[in-house]
Amino acid sequence: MLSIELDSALVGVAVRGDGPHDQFVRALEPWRTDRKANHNYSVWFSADRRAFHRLEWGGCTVVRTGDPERFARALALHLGGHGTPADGLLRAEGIAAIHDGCATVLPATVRLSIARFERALRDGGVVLHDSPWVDVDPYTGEVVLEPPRLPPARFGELVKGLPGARRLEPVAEPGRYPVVAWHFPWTVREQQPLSRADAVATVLDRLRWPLTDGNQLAALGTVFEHTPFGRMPLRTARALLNEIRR
Amino acid sequence: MRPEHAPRRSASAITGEFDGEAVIYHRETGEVHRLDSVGAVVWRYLDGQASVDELVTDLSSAFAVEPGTIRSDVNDLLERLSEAFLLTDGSHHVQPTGPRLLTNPPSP
Repeated sequence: MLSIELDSALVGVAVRGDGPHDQFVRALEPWRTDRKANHNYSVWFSADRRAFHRLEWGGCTVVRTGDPERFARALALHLGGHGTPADGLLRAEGIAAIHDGCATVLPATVRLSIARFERALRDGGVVLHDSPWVDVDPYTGEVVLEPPRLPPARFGELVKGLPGARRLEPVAEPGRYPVVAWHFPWTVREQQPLSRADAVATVLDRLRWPLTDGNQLAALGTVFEHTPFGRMPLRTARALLNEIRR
Repeated sequence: MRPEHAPRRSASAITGEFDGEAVIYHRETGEVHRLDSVGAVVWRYLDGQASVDELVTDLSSAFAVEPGTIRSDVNDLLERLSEAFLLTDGSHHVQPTGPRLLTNPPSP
């Protein structure tokens, strides 16, 4: 297993499957460390054009694609996406779904059924951003997609060693996207509607990095003043798409 | 907490009030705490000036509840806040150390 240290986060990656393992290891060379990391990610390469390359985080498939370019970008975003967020941003749990120049924050539990949801969402014009967290600017109510801090070009050699894409998959471009809805995981035990304080507390409870200034909390509350929010049961891809498109 | 004691909110506590409820974030422990509307009122007055006795008297007349009942609730709340390092008495410092070990997301 490789340990890499990037942007003050220590990440452990194991490589599986058939494919360009050596190129992958070389791509990460500048960030390798002797420090012992947890086993966080498993990267599965496929030499078979009909199969998917997969990235697993904590046993959950977070990226599943036959497009090597997208896979390289997703690797860069995930492996380099655990450090400190940019100034003023909150690094929250969830997935940014980008559509029509806007963002809907989906529960991270969507990843558990990525095979069920992603293709249908993509066909419906919704792109799930390949990143472990969602960066939110609470002062403007925007999801902020930053360029990967680990340059995707590092994986160029690796991409050449993988079979070509059956179809190119769209990716969300870096930029700022107004949050139009924020969905939290649905649970059997908690079915009461969330209050604004509940929503703020739920976000803060699962922050990746601490708040950096005292005004972020109040600002987040303001976001929920004009952004619809609630718990979302994950049923079918069609229902999820309709909810996002509502 | 003694009746004459005047508790004060910790400087590490960041507070937001939303529709009467309070959300408190401790910037060192990273813990989040929720207070209902009554708890939020008590929290607002923990300025190191008002004693527990004064708080109980004021709340008792504001909510028309027996001081004995209020005192017990206020003491419970203060104890909870103190245990969470949200009062100055319970100062708590977490020193950052080296790079963070990434932990995997918990299973839902």
